[in-house]
Amino acid sequence: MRCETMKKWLSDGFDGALAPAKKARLEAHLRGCLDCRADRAGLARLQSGAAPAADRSPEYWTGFEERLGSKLAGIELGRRTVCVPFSARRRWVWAAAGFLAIAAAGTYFAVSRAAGTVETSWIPYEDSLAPLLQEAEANPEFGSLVNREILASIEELTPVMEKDLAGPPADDPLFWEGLSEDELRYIASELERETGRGGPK
Amino acid sequence: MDECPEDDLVEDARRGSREAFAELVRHHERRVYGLVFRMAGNHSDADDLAQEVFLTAWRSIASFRRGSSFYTWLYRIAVNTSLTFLRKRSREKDRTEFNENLAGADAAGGASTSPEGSSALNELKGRVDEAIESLPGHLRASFVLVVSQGLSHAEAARVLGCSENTVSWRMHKARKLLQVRLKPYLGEVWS
Repeated sequence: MRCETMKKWLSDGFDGALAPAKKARLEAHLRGCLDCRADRAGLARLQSGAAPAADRSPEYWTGFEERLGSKLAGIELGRRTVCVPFSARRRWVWAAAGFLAIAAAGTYFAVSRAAGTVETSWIPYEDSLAPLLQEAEANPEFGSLVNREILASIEELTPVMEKDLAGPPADDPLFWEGLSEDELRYIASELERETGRGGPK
Repeated sequence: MDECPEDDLVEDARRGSREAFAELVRHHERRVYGLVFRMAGNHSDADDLAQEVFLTAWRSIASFRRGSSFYTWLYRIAVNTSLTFLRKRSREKDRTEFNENLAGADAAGGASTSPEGSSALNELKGRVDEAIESLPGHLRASFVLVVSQGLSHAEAARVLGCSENTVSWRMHKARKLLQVRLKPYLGEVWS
């Protein structure tokens, strides 16, 4: 037990980590313990055998630094890419492109309007009808002509509108089959209300 | 050229100066190499590991806290890199041995342990290297830092993130294991 403690102290002693008081006690023990002295000799040989590895040639270190330098350069490139995240950069690019497009369009319209070259593809109905109606008021013959034209236009549109508003044909059996009970009850009640006759119960 | 204090170099490196970092590499490359060589046991792996250590340091130098010791931080990276490497190599070795056993290969070969005619120091060093390589990772890291790199228990404790007492016990244990393994060689001087 005591030798085991001394061997631990021996280990600390080789590492320069043994307090002076312990060192004195260890030396006293070693003087009288053959086994621990042999242990110390063995540890000393181990210590000498575990010396730092032989240094490598200067050429090796030059090559080592060059290889490392090229790898570091690669990492630095990566760093720059990472410093400004790609998505963030792309957002800025799109934002800048959008801003430029809006600015260009705005400038174009401003310049065109100032020069009076803006061509509109739509018909300014209010502007075109106003003089027409004024003339129709002043000239009854022209007014009646306009009136006929308007009525004819309405007539042209009326069949389509009526057809659209007519709803589904009541004689179509598929129409009735597609209705729910609620819808049938509603129709029956409406018919009863309009005609005064009861529908199917 | 003026000698630049290490703190200034570290600060410049933190700001992205590769020149400053290269100077730090020149300051520490031999010691880092010595450490990883002892951990890996051969120059080929040591070369790869040393490069990896410095690359890791460069990548994470922004996280280095000013006021602490750069070499402690760097050594910690070296130890962790080495331990990760050893675990990986151990797994690969296990896998290889398993495959060889499955194939019926004769794995009985191996190094001779005979001490005959090998009293020279170089021979002892070779055996010690082999024995160190057989130590468990944390014992090996402690042993290499203290014996091969000359760190105190306190410095090694900072690198390894443990107490001085733990380092002391690990050193004692490592020495005992090495003594057992190297008994035929270390015993030559025994009476």
